[in-house]
Amino acid sequence: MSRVRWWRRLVPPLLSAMVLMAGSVAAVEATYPASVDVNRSGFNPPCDNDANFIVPKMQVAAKAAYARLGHLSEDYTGTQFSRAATLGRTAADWGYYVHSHGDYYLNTDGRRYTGFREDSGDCSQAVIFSKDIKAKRAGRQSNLVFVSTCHSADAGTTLPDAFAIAKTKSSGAVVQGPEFYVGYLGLQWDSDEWIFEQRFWNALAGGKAVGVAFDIAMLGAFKGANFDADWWGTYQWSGVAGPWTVCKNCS
Amino acid sequence: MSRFIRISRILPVVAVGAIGIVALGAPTSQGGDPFVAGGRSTRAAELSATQAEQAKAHGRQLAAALALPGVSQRVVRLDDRFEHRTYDEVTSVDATGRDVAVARFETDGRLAMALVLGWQPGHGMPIDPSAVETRGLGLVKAAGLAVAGRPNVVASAGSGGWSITWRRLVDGTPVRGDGVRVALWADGSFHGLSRIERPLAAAPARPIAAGAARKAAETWAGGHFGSASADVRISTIERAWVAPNGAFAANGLDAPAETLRLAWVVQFETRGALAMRLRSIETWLDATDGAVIGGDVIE
Repeated sequence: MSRVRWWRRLVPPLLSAMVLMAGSVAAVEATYPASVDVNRSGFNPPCDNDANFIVPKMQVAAKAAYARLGHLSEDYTGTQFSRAATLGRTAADWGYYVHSHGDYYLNTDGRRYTGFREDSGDCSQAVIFSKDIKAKRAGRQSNLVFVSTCHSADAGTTLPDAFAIAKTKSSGAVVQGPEFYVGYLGLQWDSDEWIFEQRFWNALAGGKAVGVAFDIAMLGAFKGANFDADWWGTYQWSGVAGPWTVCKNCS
Repeated sequence: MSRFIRISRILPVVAVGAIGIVALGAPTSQGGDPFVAGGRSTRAAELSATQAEQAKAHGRQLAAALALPGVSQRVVRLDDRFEHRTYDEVTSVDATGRDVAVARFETDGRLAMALVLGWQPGHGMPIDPSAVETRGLGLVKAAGLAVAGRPNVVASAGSGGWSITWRRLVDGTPVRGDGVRVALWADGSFHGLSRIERPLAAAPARPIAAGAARKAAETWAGGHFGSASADVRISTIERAWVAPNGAFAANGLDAPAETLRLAWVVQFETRGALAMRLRSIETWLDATDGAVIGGDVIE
């Protein structure tokens, strides 16, 4: 075998393998989008003269975390995180993260719903209500939904239902599918949320189940003695994007 | 064997390895670099067989003291750049091979964290709220930790029942984020525990007075909020040890700083249109000179 012929024989299988792998990664990502919406305008110029530099870190961390879980992860802020844009994307999202100002807002229908403010690139920020999201998603399955706002996990929160995540905690032999909703109770400081979120994302990256990652995240160095978060979903789920198609414990 | 043949034998292996790197992502060679947002906090560190056995022994002692489940352990040493600590993570496994508990020990063997896995909010009657503190204290002592003073006891959804926190105090000054925290299930059984004690910088010989801190904070708020500064007012000023952060610094830290500094923590409440976006804001002023070393917001 000559040196030239040997190299030529090696090239096709190498190229084939690389194309196949690139294709499979792209296929997985294309199938399971995740949107990361982060309100930065509300806490930066022109709304505040000084910038809040904690929020961009949360944005970068969330986008990377969803990508590690196998999602096609995209992040949006400013005019890209508007009420219309978010509601336009949500039907396709398997994963969703939002960081903004959240509350239990009064809707024009006279009822209150959990929601959060858009960014919209200005200081006049409309509320995105859970009922808006629910209408767009129409019961479509979700994977990991992390609502990084105040009041998002209060006992009466209406956001899990918008993402078709039952407000039940499944553990051990009981499962409710590859879904997990995380949010905060009451008012929380950004620095505590950042610590919680980085601990959560890191535990997931280390192969911990979503419930274990939540429990580990809860034991951080929070300045607020009353710091609290909550979850609903399947404790032992891995967090990996997509449905359970073969083995519900294998994802 | 010719040089060419030797290369031909190893080249496929190299090629497969290269494909593996493409597929899995090249390891990030960060050396002693600080934590960067978007990356992982932890990376595996070298652990000798002797050290591993010591960590497992600590795990078994703790399991016996707190009645943690598990019949065997595995251990990994993790270098945590976000929290600036290195610890041995001991995972307890039951007879079926399922992970049932996790404990973390500092490299000197001191307990950092313990956690029973699974959502099991208790099988008995809910514990009487008046008994929560005593129950938590008993668990702290069983774990070999010492605490002083009255803890903060709150019902906690995320803890599954109760959260009991003994804040760390140094000469009467709180160290924010440090202390011992116990999580109990609703029936009072053990869920989790953490002990955090970070290094402190030297206290300033002549810390600035509260009045000077107030003045500096008002100046800062004027620049921060501009025309909206009429919608903010100082609600509290307290001295505390804080981990400087990059909240208001363009080139700030991605993780809270390793060493805590004595600061004046000035909290502002907001009203009017500003409160639609910002509920509260804090600025942390170095107790030495009033320089802003961090801050925080509630959105």
